[in-house]
Amino acid sequence: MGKKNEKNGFMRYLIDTNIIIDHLRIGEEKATNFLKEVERGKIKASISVITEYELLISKKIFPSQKLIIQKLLTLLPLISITPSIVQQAIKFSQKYQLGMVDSLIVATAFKTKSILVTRDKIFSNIKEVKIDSLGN
Amino acid sequence: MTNQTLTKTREIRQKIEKLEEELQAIKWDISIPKVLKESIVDLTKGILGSKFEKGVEYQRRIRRKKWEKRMRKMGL
Repeated sequence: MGKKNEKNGFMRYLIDTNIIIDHLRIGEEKATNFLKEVERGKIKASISVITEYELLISKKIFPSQKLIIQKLLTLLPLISITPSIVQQAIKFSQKYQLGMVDSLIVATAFKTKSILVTRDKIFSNIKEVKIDSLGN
Repeated sequence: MTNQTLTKTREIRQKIEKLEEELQAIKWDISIPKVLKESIVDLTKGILGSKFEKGVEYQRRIRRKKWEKRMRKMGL
């Protein structure tokens, strides 16, 4: 069942905000299919608390929509920002000139040994973390 | 506070931080119940509609560039 990693058993994925936005906006096929695999338990994926914040902060989302989005988020464990993630974020920020949020996201993927699922091109030159843009 | 006390305090905090990370790792092992009749993914697919702006969160660097531009305008 699911995609396996030779060393650590199941591969883990950290889903970035833009993938969820693609699913919520237009039901973009690859983003939606990826989330379906997560729902079926075939893929182990999580999101950062930052993504939860970014998804729910928008004033353009109606309260009823927020409730449904929160249902979607129950599929994904929320990864908190720990001191070691902050330390790693500082290193990434200095090495790659990333902003605070970007560096925290990529550091979360690094510290949880996850593949970062994102379509943000700013992460494409990060060597320490494997990036999956779902074919885009 | 002596150096010994500071070291001890740091050690305790590091142990707690390690525990925090171990607790986070447990979250991955909680699987989604298979009894759900409707797919939450299907329920939320396209819920915001294509008119919904992708927003700055889509590519955070856009926000940063806008911010830098604003700072430059302010002469900072």
